[in-house]
Amino acid sequence: MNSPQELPDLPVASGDRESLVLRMQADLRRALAKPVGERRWAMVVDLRKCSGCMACTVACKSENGLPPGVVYRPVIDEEIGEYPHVTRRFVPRPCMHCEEPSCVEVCPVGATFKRPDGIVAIDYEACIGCRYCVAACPYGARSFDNGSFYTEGTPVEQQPYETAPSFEYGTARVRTEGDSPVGNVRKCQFCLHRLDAGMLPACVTTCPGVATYFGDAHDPESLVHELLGSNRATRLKEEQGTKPMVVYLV
Amino acid sequence: MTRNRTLWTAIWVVAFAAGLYGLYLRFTGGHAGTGYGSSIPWGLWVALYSMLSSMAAGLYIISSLPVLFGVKSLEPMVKPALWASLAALVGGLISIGLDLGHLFRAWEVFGRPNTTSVMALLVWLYAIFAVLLVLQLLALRSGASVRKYAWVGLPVAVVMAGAGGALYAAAGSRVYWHSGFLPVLVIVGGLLTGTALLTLISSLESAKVEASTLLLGRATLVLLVIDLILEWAEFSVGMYSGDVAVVEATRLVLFGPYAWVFWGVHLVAGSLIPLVLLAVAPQKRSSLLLSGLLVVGSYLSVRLNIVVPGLAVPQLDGLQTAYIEPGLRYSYAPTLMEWLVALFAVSLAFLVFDLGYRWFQRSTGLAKGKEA
Repeated sequence: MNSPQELPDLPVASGDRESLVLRMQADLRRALAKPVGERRWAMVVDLRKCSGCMACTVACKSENGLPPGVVYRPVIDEEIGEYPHVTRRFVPRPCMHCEEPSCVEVCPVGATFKRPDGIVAIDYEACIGCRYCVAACPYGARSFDNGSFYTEGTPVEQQPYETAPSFEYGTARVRTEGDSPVGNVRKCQFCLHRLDAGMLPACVTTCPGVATYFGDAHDPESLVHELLGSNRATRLKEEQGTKPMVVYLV
Repeated sequence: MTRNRTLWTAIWVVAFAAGLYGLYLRFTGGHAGTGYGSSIPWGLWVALYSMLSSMAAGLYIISSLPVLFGVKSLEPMVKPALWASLAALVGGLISIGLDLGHLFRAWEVFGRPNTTSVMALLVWLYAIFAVLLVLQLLALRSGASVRKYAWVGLPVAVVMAGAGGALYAAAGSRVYWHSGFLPVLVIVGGLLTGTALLTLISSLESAKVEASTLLLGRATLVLLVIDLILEWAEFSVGMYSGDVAVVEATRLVLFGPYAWVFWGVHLVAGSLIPLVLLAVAPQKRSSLLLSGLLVVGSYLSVRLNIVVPGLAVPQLDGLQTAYIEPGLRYSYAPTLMEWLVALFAVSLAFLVFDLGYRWFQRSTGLAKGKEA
């Protein structure tokens, strides 16, 4: 059995947490200085570094004020091999922000669309809640907000966090029956509201092991550009031809 | 006949009242009281819509046979077929309308349609079909020729039913649905349920077995056999393909927790019993009546077995346990509220048919009287 010393060095993105986050923030500032159409947001997840702590899932839930049944970034827990040769791998699954998104194609009203910077967004005021995009997404990355609350059906009265506004797409929205986002399909938008404010997505800044990287794939100086060229880079379900902008390092 | 009518009316009143209560729950509680969610986003209402909209197309296709191709024995069925088609369309659209997260934004499909979406195409087809249907009924009432409407309506109905299947088949990531066969299966299903419904209506309308009823009974038998052959082909090819998602979805249909829906409701009650009745006693009114009732009454199971298993297999292995919450489960059973709303849609369709057809009969009768 290999000792830890014999394991090969990680090819890229070495450095401590602080320097990596600072580099991504610098990348973000450079990208935001460019016209929106010249950016191409991408995310890279290093599966060797992900410890499956699900901090990203919780941070995302909190950042976007997600109700029961709506999750943007679950972490899939995979078991590989048979005893005694077994290992576990954790695969965070945000929206893939595909280059060729099947959700955009099927939306009957064009409420889900691809922005010039590559983010697949939803116009909450146009979505009719038909959920065709949920059925069509090859990654199961879309959720339906059915109007539930965590305290519903419990002896506890509604909590302040449930009526606090969510700032998705830069608009403060409080969940109320009949108004968006209730009745809508919802999904990860790379924390667009944070990006616009010059901040990295919540999942990126929360990850204690810096397993998730984010930046502009069109910027050759950026960390994600460097990682996308790694021979460890792979995408989920490439046979679907959707060309995801979320890449995994295996 | 009067006693029968009183009984049917009583059943309808109970069903409609229960349906109204379901509607109240739907509007006060939204979608929170439904069994579907993020993992299985479609359920009973989509299945019912799928069945009723394809049935509307099937009924229209049957109505056009005497009008365009001179099938004389079906002439008495033109009016009931057209009214039943309109009623089924109304029921189907109510079912899918109530399924929407934002019902009152549905008009957006006309205001800002996405031309690459099969769903947008379908909505436009439904609108065109509904307008044609109403124009044809008005022309029929005034005694004018309906051939020109039927020439346009027939291809619209066929494409509408086919697109109803393509809605699922075009979703490339759902391999259980992703088959060129599915649109054909939906067209055949529409014809089968339409024929069976007309067999039932014509058996109820007349104490003696008319020539049209006999023909409809035979057509139901043939379509039932075709439908079963297509279904066998779909399942067997899927199973032989070895594709994990298709095999898993088919396994759910055949051996899953709701396998009784396939074996009991669809195969035994909705297929085998009508097949035997129509083969052994094709001229008996009771066997025609019961066959029609069983086929129509059970066909929702076929649509449920298309919609739900296609969604019940996770898109990525492990998603089912990645985050556990209500709404993220990969199993589905309709809630009582969903059943009640479905009952509302069906009972409203019955109302449209009954009032419309009777009004139509009365007013065309009066028109004929005046002419005489």
